[in-house]
Amino acid sequence: MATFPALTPSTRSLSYGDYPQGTYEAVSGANVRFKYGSDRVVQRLQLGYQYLTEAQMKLLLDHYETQQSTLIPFALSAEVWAGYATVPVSAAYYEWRYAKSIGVEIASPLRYNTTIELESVPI
Amino acid sequence: MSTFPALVPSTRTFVTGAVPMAMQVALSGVVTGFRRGNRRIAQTLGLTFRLLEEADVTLIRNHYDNRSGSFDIFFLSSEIWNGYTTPPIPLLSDFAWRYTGAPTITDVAGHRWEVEVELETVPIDTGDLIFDAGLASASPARTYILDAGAAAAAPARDYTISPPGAL
Repeated sequence: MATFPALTPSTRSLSYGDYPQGTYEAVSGANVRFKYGSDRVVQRLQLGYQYLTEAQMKLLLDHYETQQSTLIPFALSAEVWAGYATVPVSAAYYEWRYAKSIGVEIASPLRYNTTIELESVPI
Repeated sequence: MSTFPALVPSTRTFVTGAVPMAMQVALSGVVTGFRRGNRRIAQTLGLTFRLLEEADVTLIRNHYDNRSGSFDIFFLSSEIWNGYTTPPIPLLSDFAWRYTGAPTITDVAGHRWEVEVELETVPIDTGDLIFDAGLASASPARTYILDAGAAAAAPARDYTISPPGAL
């Protein structure tokens, strides 16, 4: 398993996911919910990188290739959670995979911007 | 049943919801409404907390996990309605709340975070909700007990909101 490149993001947004459940709703609006699991699903982590060098950008693209795009889950490096004293999503319970392909835009000569969206995978 | 963390939101949007109903429109254009319940549904409360420290972000995350995400219900703390003389939904009423979705946690300034949550009311059965009352031998069994019953109360309570004497 290839760990995500050790690059600190410029922006970061975490959508914390929800517990899998089914809901039955009556016409009165009353509802009954059935919980199907104990791990959060559809957690999304959006990472923005700005002004990366070509070598840094290649690290991300190579990692994406190694993980066969959105197929293979992986662990995050500590740099991804830089700023947190306690990582909000424990590596003991969740890995991550790419939620979609990576787009690369040119920020300035020889510098690149990208946004990466990851989705958690309970382990 | 836990209470939402005592944090004052930076922004707050309350949508009052509506009584569940169905409308039938005749070919003539005459409209007939059929009420299907007597409790408002889809009351939502959008809260944004800005420039939180990590400890406060953790409070919200832990509460969300404690409630199993959007699965379980809870009451609000008075700080959530900060500014209201009379909250539009009383703190302890026949409406409880649940998360409609996951909190969004965004990094802002160094070591500060912004958290957005959206909540929705859940009508609860007032017959099941006992305020500062309820005996261990209460019958029929109550699902929600406020400030009542000991840990070993029988029949067992699914939700004990406050230990005796706390209110």
